Amino acid sequence: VHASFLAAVILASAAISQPPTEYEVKAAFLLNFARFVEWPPEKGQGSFVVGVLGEDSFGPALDRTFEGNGVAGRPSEVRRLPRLEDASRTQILFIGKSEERRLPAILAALRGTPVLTVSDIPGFAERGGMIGLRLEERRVRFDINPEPAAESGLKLSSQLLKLARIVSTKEAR
Amino acid sequence: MRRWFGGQSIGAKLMWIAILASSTALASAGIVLAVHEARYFRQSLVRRLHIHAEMIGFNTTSALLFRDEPAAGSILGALKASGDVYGAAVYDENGRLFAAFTAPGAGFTPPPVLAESGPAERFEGDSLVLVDPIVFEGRRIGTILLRASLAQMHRQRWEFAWVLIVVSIVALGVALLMSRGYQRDISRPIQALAATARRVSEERDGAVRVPAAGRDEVGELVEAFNEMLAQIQRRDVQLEEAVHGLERRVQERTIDLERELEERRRAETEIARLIGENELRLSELTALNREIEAFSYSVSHDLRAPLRHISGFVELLRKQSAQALDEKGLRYLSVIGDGARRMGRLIDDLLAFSRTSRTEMVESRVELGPLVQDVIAEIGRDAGGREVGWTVGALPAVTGDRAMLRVMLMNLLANAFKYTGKSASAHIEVGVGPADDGRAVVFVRDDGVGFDMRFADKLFGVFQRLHKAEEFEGTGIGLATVQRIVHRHGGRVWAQSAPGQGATFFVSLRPADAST
Repeated sequence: VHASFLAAVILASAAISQPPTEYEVKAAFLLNFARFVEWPPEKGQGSFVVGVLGEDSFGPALDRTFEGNGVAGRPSEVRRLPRLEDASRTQILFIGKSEERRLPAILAALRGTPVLTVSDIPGFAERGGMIGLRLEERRVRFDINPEPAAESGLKLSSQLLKLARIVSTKEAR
Repeated sequence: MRRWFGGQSIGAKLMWIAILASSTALASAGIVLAVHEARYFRQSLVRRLHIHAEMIGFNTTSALLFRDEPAAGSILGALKASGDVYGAAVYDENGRLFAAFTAPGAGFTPPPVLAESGPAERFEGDSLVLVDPIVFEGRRIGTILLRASLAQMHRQRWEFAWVLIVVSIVALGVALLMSRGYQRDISRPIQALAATARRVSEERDGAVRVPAAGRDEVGELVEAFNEMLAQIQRRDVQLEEAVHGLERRVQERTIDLERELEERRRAETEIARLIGENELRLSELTALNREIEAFSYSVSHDLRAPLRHISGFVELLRKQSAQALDEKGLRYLSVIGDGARRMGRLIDDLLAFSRTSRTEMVESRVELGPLVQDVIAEIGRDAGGREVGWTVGALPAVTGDRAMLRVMLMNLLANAFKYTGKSASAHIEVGVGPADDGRAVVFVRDDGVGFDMRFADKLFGVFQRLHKAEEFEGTGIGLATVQRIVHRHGGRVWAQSAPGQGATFFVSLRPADAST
């Protein structure tokens, strides 16, 4: 049984009796993305790995969210990645705000690799990332750029797509 | 109802049967359909709403997970197209209101918190309320609440009812029209039949016939009726002939009877004449009989006196002149004495016998048991030392003259005693036999010499003896006396025996009345 992120969030918030913080919500979103995205079968071996590249703003929230929550029948694992080379072995890669300048290089390196790239760097999706997180009226919302996802062989659920703002890559920027 | 129905014509009956049958069929079909439809409407509405709920739940799954309330709201907004759902609300897994939809003018405010999680449905007034869980990957992540109006369902029910009523009226009309048609086919031949039958019975006209009807039962009835009329006509002719023949025979028979009657009348006068003659002869005979009896009585009586003289003087002669007589003289004297004694006994018996027919009977209740014991005791006194085994059963009480019955028993028992004289160990039994024509039967059985049944009719005659006087002493009057006493008591006496086998004598007597 998957103890859900919501349960975790509610438990946590009940414990401190406060609404969840921005990054707690974002951690929950990462777990939900995992549920609405389908990876190509050759990537279906071993642990389901969530990697954080660059600055880690989650604190303990990310580990707590994935702790004990497998994805698609596989145990999950959260890793902080010191090097870009390790990124290709993850299923979800969260790119911290600190990597904004390296972004073109990172995305170029992962192009065609079945790694779901998520980041809260502004304009992430338009710049060739797959899912970009943003704040809208104090709520976390997301943009999806279907092109790189399709290129990498990832299938995004329509449930996911209908909640997202759909964008496309804008090379000119 | 039944009486009223019985008074109707066949045509009306057929019409009513048609109406009743079709309206009953329609009513039962309508009720079954209505019940079925009512249940079906409800069930289909509930099923449809559950499907709605499931679809909305599926569509709002991601919105719930990503906490996207506007997205959930817009999904719920699609319910505007649904005719009867006027309110919907999605709750998160803690039961807090997440998104809602209210049809314009519906006046529905979703509760901010929902405690139940379903699945459940209930009817509230004119609404169906339905609660279903929203499940994702085996877990409940929220709850959906739907409220639907039942107005459409009611409208459908009313439409259904109207269709049913209209169909019923049309069907009844058609049934009536049809029954009009076929009732004519059935009732017209029957009416013709009834009219003809009335004519036949009123005018006694056996020659009329009913016009033939179809090949159904009514047709058969008409045919059978015509055949019956033909038979009646034939019978009438036969009857007339028979009546004529009968009259002739009655006349003949009357003449015969008159002749017979005449003969019988003649025979009756002849019989009357003969009876008159017989009565005359009978009274003559009775008078003669009485004379003879009186004569024999007086003779016996008168004989006694000289006999006493003979006996007395024989005794005197023996006592006083015995020395003067030689041996031959003494033997003669004893022969004379014996003869006189026997004659005396004979006279006594004759007197007793004639007394049995002359004496007045005094009837009373007589217990036979003690009487028999009394007689046995008396016989024992005169037995001269002979031992006899007596067996006396439980004897009844009878109605009769005590003295005569005693004489009767004395004669019967003495008889038995006498004829067992040759046997060393004799046995005599007195008992009760099976009743004879309502009379008590008493028998006396001995194991003596018995007699040949060929001579049974001679047993009870006066001076009739089956044995020689030298063998058994006796006057031949005893059983005659018994028979006379039994006859005077209205009973009968009979015997059964075989030589050397003993004899049994039966007498039947009137049993004592319960009152006496």
